[in-house]
Amino acid sequence: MTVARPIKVAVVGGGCASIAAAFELTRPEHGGKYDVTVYQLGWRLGGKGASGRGPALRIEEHGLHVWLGFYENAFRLLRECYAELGRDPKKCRIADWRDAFCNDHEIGIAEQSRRGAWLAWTAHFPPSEGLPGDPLTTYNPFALGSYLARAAALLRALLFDVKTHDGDAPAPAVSPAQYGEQSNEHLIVAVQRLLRYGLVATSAGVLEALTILEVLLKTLPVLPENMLTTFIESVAQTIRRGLEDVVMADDEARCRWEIIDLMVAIFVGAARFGLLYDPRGLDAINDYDCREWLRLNGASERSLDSAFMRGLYDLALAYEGGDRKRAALAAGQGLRGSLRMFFTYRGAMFWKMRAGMGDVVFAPFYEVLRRRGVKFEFFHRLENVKLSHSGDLAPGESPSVRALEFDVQAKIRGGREYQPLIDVNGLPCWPSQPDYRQLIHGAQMRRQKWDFESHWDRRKVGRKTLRVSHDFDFVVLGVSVGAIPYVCKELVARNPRWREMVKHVKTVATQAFQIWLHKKMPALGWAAPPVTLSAFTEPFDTWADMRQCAPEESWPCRPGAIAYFCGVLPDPPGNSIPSDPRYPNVRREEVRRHAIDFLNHQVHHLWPAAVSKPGRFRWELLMDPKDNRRPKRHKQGNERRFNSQHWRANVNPTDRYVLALPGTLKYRISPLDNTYDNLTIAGDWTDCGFNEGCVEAAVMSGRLAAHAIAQSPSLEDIIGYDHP
Amino acid sequence: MITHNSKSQARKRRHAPKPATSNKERLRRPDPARTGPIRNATTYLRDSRSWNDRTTDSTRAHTDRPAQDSPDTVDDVVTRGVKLGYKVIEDYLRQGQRSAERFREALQKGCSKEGKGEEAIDGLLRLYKDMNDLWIDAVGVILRSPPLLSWFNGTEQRNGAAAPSRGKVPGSINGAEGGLAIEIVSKRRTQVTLDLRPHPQRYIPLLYALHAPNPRIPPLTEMAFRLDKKTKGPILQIKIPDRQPAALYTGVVIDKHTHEPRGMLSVRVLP
Repeated sequence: MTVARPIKVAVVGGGCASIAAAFELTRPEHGGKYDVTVYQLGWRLGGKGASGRGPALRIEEHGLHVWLGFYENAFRLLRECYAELGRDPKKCRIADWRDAFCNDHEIGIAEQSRRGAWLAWTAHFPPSEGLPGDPLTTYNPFALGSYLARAAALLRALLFDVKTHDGDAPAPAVSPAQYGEQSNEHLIVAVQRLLRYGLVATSAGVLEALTILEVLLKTLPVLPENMLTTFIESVAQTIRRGLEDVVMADDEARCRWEIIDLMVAIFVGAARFGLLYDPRGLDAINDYDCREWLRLNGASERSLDSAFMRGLYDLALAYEGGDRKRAALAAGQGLRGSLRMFFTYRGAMFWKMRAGMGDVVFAPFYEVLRRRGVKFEFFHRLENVKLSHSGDLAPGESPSVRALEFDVQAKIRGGREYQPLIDVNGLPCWPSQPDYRQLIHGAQMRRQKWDFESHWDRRKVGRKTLRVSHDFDFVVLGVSVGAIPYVCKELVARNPRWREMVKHVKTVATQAFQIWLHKKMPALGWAAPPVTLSAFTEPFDTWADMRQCAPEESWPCRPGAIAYFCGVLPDPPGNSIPSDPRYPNVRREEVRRHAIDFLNHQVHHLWPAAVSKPGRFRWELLMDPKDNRRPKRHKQGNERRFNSQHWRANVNPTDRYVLALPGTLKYRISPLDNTYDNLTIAGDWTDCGFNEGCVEAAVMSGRLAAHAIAQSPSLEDIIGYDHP
Repeated sequence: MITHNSKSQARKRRHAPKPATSNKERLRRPDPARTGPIRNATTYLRDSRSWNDRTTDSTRAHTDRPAQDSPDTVDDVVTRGVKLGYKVIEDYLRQGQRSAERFREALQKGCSKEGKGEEAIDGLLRLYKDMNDLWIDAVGVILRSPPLLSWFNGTEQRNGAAAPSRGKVPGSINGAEGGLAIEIVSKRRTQVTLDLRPHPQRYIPLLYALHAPNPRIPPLTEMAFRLDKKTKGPILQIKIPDRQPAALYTGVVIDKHTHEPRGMLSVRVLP
């Protein structure tokens, strides 16, 4: 007798990709065709994007997460999620997706001047038309015409808006849209500056003209390529000859020139490498490192070592093994990422979350998916993916997954469902620790410090095996690539492509810390608008001013400033993850030391008033959640006070950031791949169209995984998947 | 890409996923139509309409585009490319003009006495004008190049009678000949000046839009060169909307095939 039943899908992992896949598979339009269960390690969703509420209900992240204005897929799903959630704005502060983010128009890079001092350059990127996730009927952001228009905007931003902050009070930011509102004095200065850099602007105009030519010529099936290349190269040489001497005497002009020099190299390279006509698009140059490819096309060493260039590498954490000397980023993907970042953002270039990523992203998705009938099995750690025996396969049948084996880390009292969220002043949030009260033997686990998210803590209370056709029909494998060698041994052994993938798709450990300060940023010496700044000194090259999160936390006295820092964490010698269970704590202590040294010796370049003297951070600035009130005014703190802050060493295989190294992207496997015909993979480590570690890549991958199972969404609906 | 060593029956079975299944029967994912993105340049010009329709309905489930979905004809593609190019440069100029206007307004309020303002504005406008000139010069250099022209000639020869012949196409003109009629549909008093440069070959003229110096004024867009059915000669039709602001509108006439500038059309709408 045949009984119709829903198709069971086991989603393993609860990061962005897994949640996107679950969201797609349970859309109401499917009419309940897919019965989805999410199996999650520990107590919270989010993967690398998980966050929790700690002491003073402060937000504690895995690292620094900023959404970029080109995350079309991610924003689109999140907007749909909030619309379906239907929160009452009278009862919840973050009821709409727009409540969850604030725009960040300032992008910053830090550069060491010839005299050794650090200069912070910030540029204001004006709001662009629309919002990420808006329909694209009348506007295709991925058309070359759109890129060109945005290139023009970028050049205008460079001409008008780059400012330096070297400790003096900076001028207020000005966007082109605001020129009319500025003081006359400022306008005159702006115009004079424009004329002073007229040569630069004219050169930029030539570049723009070249790109227009490309638009014209790329449409012709037969092309005078040599002529085009020669023409572009001769113009580029002329520009370089004419400008080098003019701009080198001036730091500000040099900063602009370095960016223009890099753009020239890109135009030259696009012509030389025939990128506009290559069916592989930008992937054609993925075997080159970004810097190497730009050098081949004439970029100067100065530009290649510029803060702008370092900033691009920092944002992609592109340091193999965490070693600063091994900076590496696949040229095609690096270029694609830059084009998307600078030229296809909508609304704002950066979107900062007003609360934790868990709070504003994963809690809403959790609630919506629960309503849709998705089941969540927390405290389930995947141990093994078992394949069908080769001998059991019928002729022509592909291998498949026959079982999933889990360690059950904890059981819930009364056999109930684990309730993972806590209420923070009306906002559902994830805690930084599990709710032990719901767990059988929870008190004991707390005392014994069970670390449910640690790769090295293998304690469990039971095992569970899911069998194909009984417990699942399809699997979405959403664990990160770092864990694949441990949990997919059979898949890796059986298939050479999987072996190549785990060998070549590498990850890097990261380190991050957050501090809460009594004083506001201007009192620390940073008077510019809130910024996201990279290319700063190691080990923490990236800083984000997160003051917008302060109202969401519950301190007796609201923090004046909140700052997140992050960077790569060098791996120990050797390629394997150490098995010593003390390893994560050793690395965590290392990060603590790094952070203290950084605050003592480096941060004064950004915040000159945060140190009492060179090498001595004013520790009393830090807010300790145990303090009931503000400390006495002149009481000096010591570095022990840093222990009250939040820091992480992201060394778990699943927490490590996925790299886009030259020559490795071809080894990635697509979620659409059908090697194992009841399994699809999901994550920013897959071949998902945008092969760089980020939320957007993960969401695209999750949508592809859903397509692999349900043929929906269509590939054309995955925004930016088909992109040169 | 992985190839499955499956027999045709097994493959056929996988191509048809079942919406619901019997108990204990193992399901298989269908073979995907493709496993990678389309990276080639045609995606620059692809239609993005599909991005707006959410795709959960089953009728759209199998509507992925074929991998090589190239645009219609060479002519269409070239036209589209040119439109993109023009649009970008127009946008750029318009934005430049807007910035200049803002400067002018702000400076006139308080700084004109020093004379710096006018000088600065002139410099700014010169900058944008230079960029425009550079662009036109560069297009001219490239498009007058022998390889490109020979390509066009080759195309015509290859396509034979089916291809448009610039010498014989009805409606084509050359700058030296007369006989071009102008038809204006307007309730407003209007002056039209069409200045076509002499050109030895016949060509099909094309116009996109006429712009006023003030970027806030909407452009004139309802105009086209057509073939007059009665005279079999070319005719330029211009329609002026009733509420079109009084101004001088100008635009470049280009050769539809080579995109070389052929002249200038000016329409002065009088108050």
